[in-house]
Amino acid sequence: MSMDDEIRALRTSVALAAGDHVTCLRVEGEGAYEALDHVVACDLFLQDGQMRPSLLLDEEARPFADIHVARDDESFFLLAEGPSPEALVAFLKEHFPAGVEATVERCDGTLLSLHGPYAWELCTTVLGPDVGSLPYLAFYRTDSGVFFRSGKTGEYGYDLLIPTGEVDAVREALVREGAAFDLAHASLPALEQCALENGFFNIRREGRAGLSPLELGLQWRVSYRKDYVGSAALRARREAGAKARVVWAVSGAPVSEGDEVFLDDQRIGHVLAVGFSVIRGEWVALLLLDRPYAYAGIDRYEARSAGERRPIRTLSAPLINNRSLYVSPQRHSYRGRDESKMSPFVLPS
Amino acid sequence: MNPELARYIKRRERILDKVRTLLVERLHVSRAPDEIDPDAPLFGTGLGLDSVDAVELLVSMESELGVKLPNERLSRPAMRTVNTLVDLALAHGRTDDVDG
Repeated sequence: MSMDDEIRALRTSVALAAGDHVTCLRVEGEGAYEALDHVVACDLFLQDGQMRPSLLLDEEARPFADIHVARDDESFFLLAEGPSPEALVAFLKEHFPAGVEATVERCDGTLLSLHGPYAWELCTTVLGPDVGSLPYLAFYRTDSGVFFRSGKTGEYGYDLLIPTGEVDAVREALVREGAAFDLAHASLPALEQCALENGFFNIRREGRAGLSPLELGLQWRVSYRKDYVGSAALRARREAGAKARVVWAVSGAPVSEGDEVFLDDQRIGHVLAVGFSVIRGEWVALLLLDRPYAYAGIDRYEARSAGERRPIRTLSAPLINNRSLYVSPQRHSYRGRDESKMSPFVLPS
Repeated sequence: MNPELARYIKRRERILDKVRTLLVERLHVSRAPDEIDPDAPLFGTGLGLDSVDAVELLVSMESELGVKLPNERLSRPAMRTVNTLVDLALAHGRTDDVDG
């Protein structure tokens, strides 16, 4: 199956993906809250069963890991992308405050994930209604696994932590029952393309550009009310003022990472990430633009590479009008869907 | 900068400021306005709004920016991020607020 087909399935039905790129850790002990609060960039105001997206920053306020932190009674799950499991554990142990009693262990199990406007329905069929009906950014733990409702595609998304001894049986059940949903397998590049189209942060691309949450538009994931790793550098950057900011854009012609962006003959930024959107039928890109030019809704900029000039148009993310916005578990089903009544993926702008 | 583009950016920045102020003062988002990034998600743990806030947000957008949604189908895509609210105000808001 091509990546385009993987993305079409993810945007219209359900896609199953491996979770090899995500590390799941469990932080336990009397000092678990205090230890994590000292390293996680967001306020840890979480109720039992809740989760939220945040970041681990390095001392220069650059993203080290893209995380979801989830509270499980007095312990926490950490779902992290970016560093290797070993580097992640080492980072936490290095930065946990001295004398605080907290242990960090890799979760026992294998991660699978489901994404798509009908992912909730397949989850309900295979794993039960308690999983399928999970609210966004909540999780549910049973003897047969831990089920997180999150996702970075703009569609219903579930991360399923399954005991390793049972993962083959669960995968087989998902594939078997998924046939009725035209289930596809989604690769990491397909997930990343969907994330780009929906304005989700990617630690493996723009996350490695040496930028802080200020330039990346991720201040909603960080707190200015507490101290943590990188917070002093972040405050200093904020006081100095961001010189550039990310903006999403589309182009009818191929654009490449690193292309320079111009307004007339003035260089105003460059392309951080790009991919062809089979859903939009055009290239979608994440730009880093000088602050005075970093706005959506502008069609006067050009990407230039090797003497070629390609018009680009800046837009507000998300760039997809996701079907998951309109599909309701109370009223809809994959079998009863009516394509003719679906909202278009791209709204006029 | 081309005068037309400069005018557009000024209009957009002005509405962005108004939306940020509205979120802080009417929706009680506990952030300083400059912490509210243009592409910040409004709901979930983005800026932390919920379904009750959605109603207040629509009322505030109408009273503060003159936004009248032409149809309900537009409300969902328009209420995803701060920037999509700005797009909405530019397309369907009061001309005096937009041009000011």
